Amino acid sequence: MANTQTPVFRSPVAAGSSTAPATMGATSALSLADETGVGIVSVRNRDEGSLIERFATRFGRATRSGNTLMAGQRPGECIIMGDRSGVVGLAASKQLAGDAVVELTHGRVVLRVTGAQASSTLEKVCSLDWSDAMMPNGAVTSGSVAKVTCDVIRDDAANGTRSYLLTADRSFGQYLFDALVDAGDEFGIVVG
Amino acid sequence: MSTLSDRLSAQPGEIIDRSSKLRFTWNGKGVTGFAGDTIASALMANNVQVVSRSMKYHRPRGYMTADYWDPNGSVQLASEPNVRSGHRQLQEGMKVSAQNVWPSLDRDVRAVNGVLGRFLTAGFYYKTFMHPRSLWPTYEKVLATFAPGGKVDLDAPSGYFDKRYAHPDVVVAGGGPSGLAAAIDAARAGAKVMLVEHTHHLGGHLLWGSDGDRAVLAQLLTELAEADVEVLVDSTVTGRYEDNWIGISQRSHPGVEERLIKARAKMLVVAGGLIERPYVFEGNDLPGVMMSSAVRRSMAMYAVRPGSRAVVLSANAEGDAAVEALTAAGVEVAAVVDPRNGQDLVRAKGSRRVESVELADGRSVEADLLVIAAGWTSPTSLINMAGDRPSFDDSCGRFFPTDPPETVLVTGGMAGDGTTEEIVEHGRATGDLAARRASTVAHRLQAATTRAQSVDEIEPVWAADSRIALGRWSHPGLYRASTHGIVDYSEDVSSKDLVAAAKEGYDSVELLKRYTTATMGPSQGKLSTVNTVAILGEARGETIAEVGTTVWRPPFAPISLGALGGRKFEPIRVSAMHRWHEANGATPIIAGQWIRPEHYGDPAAEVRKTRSGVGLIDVSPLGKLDLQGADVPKLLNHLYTNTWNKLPIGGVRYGIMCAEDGIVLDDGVTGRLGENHYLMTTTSSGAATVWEWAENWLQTEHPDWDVSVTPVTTAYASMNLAGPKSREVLSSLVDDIDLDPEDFRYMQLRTGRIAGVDNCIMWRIGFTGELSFELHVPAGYGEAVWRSVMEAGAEFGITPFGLEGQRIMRLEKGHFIVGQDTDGLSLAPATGLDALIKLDKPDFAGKPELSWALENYEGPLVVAVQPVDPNVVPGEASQIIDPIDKRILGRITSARYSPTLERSVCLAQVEPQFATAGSRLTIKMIDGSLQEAVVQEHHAHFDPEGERLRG
Repeated sequence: MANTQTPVFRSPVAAGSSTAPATMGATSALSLADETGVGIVSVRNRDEGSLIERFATRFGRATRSGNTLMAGQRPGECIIMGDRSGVVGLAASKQLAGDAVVELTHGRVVLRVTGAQASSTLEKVCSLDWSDAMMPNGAVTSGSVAKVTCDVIRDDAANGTRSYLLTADRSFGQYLFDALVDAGDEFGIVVG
Repeated sequence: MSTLSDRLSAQPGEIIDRSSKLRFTWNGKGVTGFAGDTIASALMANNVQVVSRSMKYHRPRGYMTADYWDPNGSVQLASEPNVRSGHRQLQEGMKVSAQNVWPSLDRDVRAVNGVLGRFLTAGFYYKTFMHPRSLWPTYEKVLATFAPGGKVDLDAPSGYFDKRYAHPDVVVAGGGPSGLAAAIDAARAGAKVMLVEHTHHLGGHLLWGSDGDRAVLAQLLTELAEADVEVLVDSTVTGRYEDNWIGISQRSHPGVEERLIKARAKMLVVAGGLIERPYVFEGNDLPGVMMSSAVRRSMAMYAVRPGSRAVVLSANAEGDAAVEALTAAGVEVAAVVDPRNGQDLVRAKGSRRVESVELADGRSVEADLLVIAAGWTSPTSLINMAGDRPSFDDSCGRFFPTDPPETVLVTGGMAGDGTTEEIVEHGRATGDLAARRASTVAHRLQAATTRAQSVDEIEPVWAADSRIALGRWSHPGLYRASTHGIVDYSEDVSSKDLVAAAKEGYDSVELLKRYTTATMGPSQGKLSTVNTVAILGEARGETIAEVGTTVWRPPFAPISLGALGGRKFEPIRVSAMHRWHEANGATPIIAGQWIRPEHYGDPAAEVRKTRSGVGLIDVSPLGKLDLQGADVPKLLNHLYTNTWNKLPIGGVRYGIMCAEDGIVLDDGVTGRLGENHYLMTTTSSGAATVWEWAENWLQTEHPDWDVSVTPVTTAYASMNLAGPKSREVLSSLVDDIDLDPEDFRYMQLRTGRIAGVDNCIMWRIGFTGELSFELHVPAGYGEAVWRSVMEAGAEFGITPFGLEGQRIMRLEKGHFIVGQDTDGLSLAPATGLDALIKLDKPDFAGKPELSWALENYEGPLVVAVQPVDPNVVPGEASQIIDPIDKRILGRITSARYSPTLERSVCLAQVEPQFATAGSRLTIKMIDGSLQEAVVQEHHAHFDPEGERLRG
C-alpha cells in the first residue's frame, strides 16, 4: 500500500519559503527573494525562427506576458518561467516535432535581486556590465556569479524598479544566496 | 644652529584639524598629532628626524619625499609591517615604531655594515656565498636575520577584503588639476566617469601651491561636485591590461581593508602628474635632505616646518617657490644653488642629519635642511603597460609618451608643461575627447551584443585628437653631481655600485637592475629609474635615450595579497537531502564541490545492515543528462564503446566512454525513457566533462544529428535503496509500478509515483552489488521522498549509509571507479571489459586507438588482490614491487577492510604478466614493510555471479 503523506516542496535555500512561491517580483530598496519553485521549462529546437515565432522572443531577450516570462536563453533554446502548471501547459500547447522539452523547475534555484542598488550588489560578484545600455530590461545572458554559472534575466518590477532574476543549478542554492546576502550587506539588503 | 622642526601657525591651505588632537606612540614614547596628519607629518611636527635605517648599511634616514613613495618612511604599525608613514593617516592610539633596527633606531649595531661598505658592493652576496655549496643553509639562516622590512604577526586576524567589477566609460588616473578637469568634462559630455586619486586628497600640486592655485582647485572641486563622477581617493590604478582592463586598488572603501576593482574602461585617461626626482651626490641620504615638493607640502598642508636653516638647490620654478615658502614660514634660506646659472653642490655633511652643504664654488654652508628641486620623473607605467614606449627628451630631462593606443589619452605633466590654466584646459579637452571616443566604443559593444540596447547602424565617427598640445619647457639635466651618492634609497644602491657593475659587464639596463637591485625596492624605481639609467649612460658614454629603461610592469603601487584574493568564493553544492543528513549526524566529506555524507557514525555497521537488510544512500551528485531526439542512439554509439541500437524502452545499459586516445574518460548507465528520450548517468566527477564531450561532438562533428542534451543532474534528487529488503520497503511507497522481479528486472527502469511524488524514475541498478533500486525524484521533493523511504524502512531496520559504506561495498563487488582505479594512462582494455569494446561499429570515440590496443595492449591491468594476511589493508597507492630487484610492477588503487568478508579487499593495477589469477605479488606498505598478496580470479570479491543484485 502506498504511503499517502503529502510531499512537501523544499527550496535549497534554508531561509526561503517551504512551499513554492506563487508570484514573482519584489519591490524593496534592495531585496533578495528566493523564488525557487517557480515553473521552468526549457524548449529547444534547432530552428531558431520557430522558437521566435512561437514564444515571441529571441536569443538574448526576454518577453513578459502577465505572470509568464519567456527568455531566449541560448541560441535555439527558450526558457519559460511562471506558474508551473501554466508553463508546462504553454510548452505543451506550442510543442512542435523536433522540440526537446525539459522541465527544470526542480533543477534550478531562482533568486531575484531587486532595487536601486541591485546592480551595485551584483557587480561585486559578477563581471557582467549591468548598465542599462548593455543590460536593459528584458536582457538575457549567462555569467559567473560568485563563481557559479547563472542564467540572468533583467526583469524589472511593474513600477520600473530594477530587478534581476538569477537561476543556477539547485545544488548551489544556499551558497549563492549567502554570497548575494554578503555582497548586498553594505547596501542594506533585505531578504524576502 | 637650531634643528627644531615644529608646527607653523595656521596655513591657508592646511588640512589638519587643530581642534582634534590625536595621541599615538613612536617607539613606545607618547606623542601627539592632529586629525588630518599623516604619520609622517605628525612625526616631523614632533621633531623626529631619523625615522628608519637604510636596508643594507643601516644608515640613519629621515623623510625625503614625505609621501607614499618615500623610501625612508616605512614603519611598523602594531602588527602591520611596512606601513608607508608618508601616506597613512594618523589615528588615535596608533603604536608606531621603526622597523628592521636592533636594538633600537638610535643605536642600531648593524650600522657597522656602513664601515664595511666598501666590501658590500653589488654582487657581494652572489659572489661570497656561492661556495662551498654545502654551507648555503647556514648562510641562509644568518642572512635571513638581515632581511629588511617589518615583522609579520602570524596571529593577527585576517582582514576582510572586497572585490568589484566596473564598466565605466572613462577611468581617469590621477586627481590633480588635469585629471580633475578631464573627469569633469568627460562627465559633462555624458560619460560615466571614475576618477582615481592615489593620495587622500584631490588637487595634486595645487594643494601646496599659491593662493591662485588654491582658487583654481576650489573651482574645480565645485565643478566636480556638480558633475556625475565616481571619485575614489586613496586608491591607485595599479595596472592597465588588454582592452583597457584596469586594476584599481581602493584602500578607502568603508568596512574593508582593501578592495580590488576590475574596471573595463572604454577610455583611460592617464593624468598621473610628475614625481620629483632626487639628485645624486655624497650625503644625499642624510636626514634633512628633502625634495622641494615634500617641503612645500609639509608646510602648506600640515603646517610643519621642516628645518630652520636651509640650502636650496633650485633648477626650476618649483624650487624657486620652495625658497619663497620657506622664507614666508620663517626658515632661514642660507643659500640658493641654481644649476640654471651653472651652480652646483658637491656634498652634504653631517652624522645623523645635514649639518652643512659643500658647494661647487668652494663654499661650505651650515644648514639643517637641504632642499632639492632637480627635476621630474614622469611615471609612465600605465602607458608603458598600454604598449607605448615613451621617449626621453634631453632638453626637458624626462620621458614623454610616444604613441599610446587610441583608447589611452595622456594629460597633465606627463603630456607636457604649461601654466595651471593651460594644464586645466588640456585636461578638459582630454576629458571631452575621451567621452566622445567612449561613445564610439560603447556603440561597437552594443552593436555586437544581442542583449544590449539597440543602436543605430551607423557608427559614430571616431573623434580626432584636436587638443592643443602642451609645451615642453627646457630643464637642466641634473642626475649626478661631481660626487657619488645613493641612487636607490630603498635598496641602498649607490652610483659607485652602478659604475662598478657596468665595468664588470652588467652594462645592459635590465642586467644592471637585476645585479644591483636598483629600482627593485618598495619605491619600484619611481625615484631611481632615471638616475640609474643616467649613471649607466655616463659609464657607457651614451645618452639616456640610447641606454633605454627597464620595463614598467604592474602593479604601479603595491597591492595586498588580500585584495588580490578578494572575497572568498568557494562554491559548494549540496543535495536536496542535505539538511536531513546534517540533522542525523552525518560526517561530511568534500567531494569536488559537493558536500556529501561520508558516514553516519559507523560505516562498517552501515555495510552490515545493508547487506543483511536494507540501506539508503544519497547519490544526487551522479551526473544526469536528458537526451532527446531521433539520433540519440547515434550519439550513444559514438560516445560509448559498446552498442546502443537495440536498447528497448525501459531498458538500461552500462557503458564506458573513452577519449580519442582510447583512455577511459567516464562510465555509467543510460536508460531509455521513451521512443526518442533517454536519461544518461555519469560519474559524479565526470558530469560536466561528459556534457561538454557530448556537446563538442554534436556541435563540431555532427551538427546534423537530431539530439538535444540537457544537464539535469540537480533536477533530480537521487538515492539508492540497496539490500535484500529493499523491494519490501519500496512496495509500500509505490502504487503504479510493478516491483515483481519477473516484471521489473535487473537493468531496467520504470517511471511513476514514489511516496506521492509524480514523475519519478526508478532504475534497478546499483553500485553495491545488492538488490538495488535507484530512485530519481524531482529535487524539490527529494527530502520528502527520502523521509518517506526511511519511515517505510524502519520496520526492516533500514540504515542510511554514506560514501564510505558505498566504497566498501563496491570494492567487495569489484566495481572500479574511473579516475581512482584507472588513471590518465588507462586504455579501455586495462579495465578488463574488453567485451564492451565493439569494433564492429562504424565509428566511435577512441576506436582507432582501441583497435590497436585490443591486439597489442601490454599496459597495466586492473585486478582484484587479496593480501595473504587478511587483516592487512594496504594504503591506497602502495607500490607493488618485485621483491628481488625492487622494480615497481604496479600499485594498489583501492583497499578497505570488508566487514562482510571479514578480510581486506583490494583492487590494483599490475603489469599484465602478473595479472593472472593466482599470481603472487609483493606490496610495499607505507611503513616500508613488505606484504604478500594474491591476484584473484574475478574483480568481485563478493557474489561474483551477481545473484544478489539480480534477486
